[in-house]
Amino acid sequence: MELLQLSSKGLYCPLGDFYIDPWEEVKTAVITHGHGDHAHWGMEQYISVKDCAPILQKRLIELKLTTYDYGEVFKLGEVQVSFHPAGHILGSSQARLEYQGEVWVFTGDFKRNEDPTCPAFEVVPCDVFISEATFSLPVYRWPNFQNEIQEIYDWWIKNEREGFNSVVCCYALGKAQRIIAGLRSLTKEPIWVHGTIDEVNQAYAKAGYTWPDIHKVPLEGKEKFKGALILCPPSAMGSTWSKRLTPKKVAFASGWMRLRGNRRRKGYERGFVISDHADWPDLLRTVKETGCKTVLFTHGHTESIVRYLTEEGKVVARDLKLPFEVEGET
Amino acid sequence: MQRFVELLKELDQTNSTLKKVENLINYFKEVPPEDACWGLYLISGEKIKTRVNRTFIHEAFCEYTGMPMWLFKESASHVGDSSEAMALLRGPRKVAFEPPSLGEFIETELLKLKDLPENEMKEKLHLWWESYDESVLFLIHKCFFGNLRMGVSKNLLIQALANVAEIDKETMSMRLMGDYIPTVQYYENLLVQDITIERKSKPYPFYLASPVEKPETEFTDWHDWCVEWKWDGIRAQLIKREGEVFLWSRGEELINESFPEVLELGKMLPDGTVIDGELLPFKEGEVLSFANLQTRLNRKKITKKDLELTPISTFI
Repeated sequence: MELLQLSSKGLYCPLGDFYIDPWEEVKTAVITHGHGDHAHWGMEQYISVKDCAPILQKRLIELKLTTYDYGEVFKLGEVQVSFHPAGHILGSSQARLEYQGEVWVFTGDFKRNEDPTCPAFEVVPCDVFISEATFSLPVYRWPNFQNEIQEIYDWWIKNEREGFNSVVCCYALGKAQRIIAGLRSLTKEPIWVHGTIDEVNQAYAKAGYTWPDIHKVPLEGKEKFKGALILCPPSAMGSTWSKRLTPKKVAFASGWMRLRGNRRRKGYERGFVISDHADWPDLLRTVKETGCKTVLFTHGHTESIVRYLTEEGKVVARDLKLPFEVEGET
Repeated sequence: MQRFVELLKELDQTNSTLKKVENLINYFKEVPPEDACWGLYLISGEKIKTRVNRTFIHEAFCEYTGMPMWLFKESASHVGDSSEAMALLRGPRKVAFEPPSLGEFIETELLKLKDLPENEMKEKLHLWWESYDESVLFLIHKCFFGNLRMGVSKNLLIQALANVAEIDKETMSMRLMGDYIPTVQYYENLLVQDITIERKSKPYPFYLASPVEKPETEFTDWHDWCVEWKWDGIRAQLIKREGEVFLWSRGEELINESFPEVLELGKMLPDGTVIDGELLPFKEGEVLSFANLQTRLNRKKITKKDLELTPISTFI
């Protein structure tokens, strides 16, 4: 029997009677991480890793939540379940399911690159590996994280010299904190953030991740900025909030920025290639390292990676179309 | 090459045309003509005649990366530009070799490639892919395939080069007519400060319509006015001096190439004639729409079909 099946509400485990990251209301939801496309509202009870709690509590009100440590094994029905670090954002995990010696792992979203704001990805040996494939084309190869942070810093200093503010658009949950942590290793200068990011920072503080001299740019207010670095979600650009930051240069930090066309179409002057997902080499490496016999891919260009692995012939590779949006990387 | 890669980065990272012109000026001022002539050639979107087949390069690349051709093609179509895709597919490198200067690379490496036997040609390509930074590879690929697309219009080039040569834009526009030739001679001729040869082509200030400030009821001096229909074409000046004909747009761009039939008419004018008028498409006794006229603008080559569909006559 298959440990996980695709149903209309989410990925379902019949032997344990629970769902992983379901998008419709169910009784028991095992949550891999706090991004909106994985943690939906309205489940009777939620189960997550401990570090995920402050984020879920921030996003979902009146939530009935049970948490476990990484590596701690608990039983749901007949199935032994445990969480393992996915390295995606704070509180992100892979879900490991075991029944009668057969092991399935669902990665949720994951990356293998350096991230000072969450524990590193752990390779979990398994029989069936269900992997995200958001960036599953070989053009996606991430540059070194610290190099990109240095690029942001150099850009900021240059703009400051020319009298501009530097605005870096990035996803508010995970990416913003990772950039802040990276920049803090380079400079003590104050960093300004949009209110949405400030709220997430408070959740991170509850899990023990804090940084000095991070300030909120309030929605209303008159202070003027000059030569400042400001982080905000992309949706904040073009609002009246952003007008106060003029004169400004605007950049976007995302894995999609690897392609010149993506950046130019969106009109950003700079793109920093910082992604919280695995790139192509890391997807292939991870499949290999888990020692799985079967791999299923969700998100992204699944056809290419499925075909590539099938031609290679070492594992059985298939497509598993989940209706997740690619929200984590906008 | 490094300085040119730097320029590409600067051009790519700004949306301001003013800044782009500044970047171009600095580039042309800093590099020797041996590099600048090639820089200009590439920036205008030309591809270098390497006589190396595109498929051969793609196959050599797949061999180098060990990637199946279908995956390369899928990646290239995802990126929308095979030069960029190949650079991205090779991926970032921690340590990369310093490339030679642009002129040296093109003349002693790239253009010599075609003389090598296939296996040595392949070795050479593999060596480049192994040695250089992503941004240098992007440039090398663009040398083969052209189409640099850096948001630099001819007009920006004219502005930048006019500044470097310390001459006026109209003269530079004249000098940049026709095909770019990637030689030091061509480049140095562009920058010559003596403009006596071009001066004869220079247009007068344009005779443009401007709105009347006061309402028509307040006009008492009707007799002093002459009313003329405002045609929806483009303002132009047709000049014949010393046997040569020049057609200028009001943007002070030389548009000889776009309107060959008007040039023919110009040849019949007596020497020293300047006509300022509205350029209009005119067919079977009727003026065609502005949209028709637009099919004739910014074109390097006008086909016979264009001439039949949208003939132009100057209306004064």
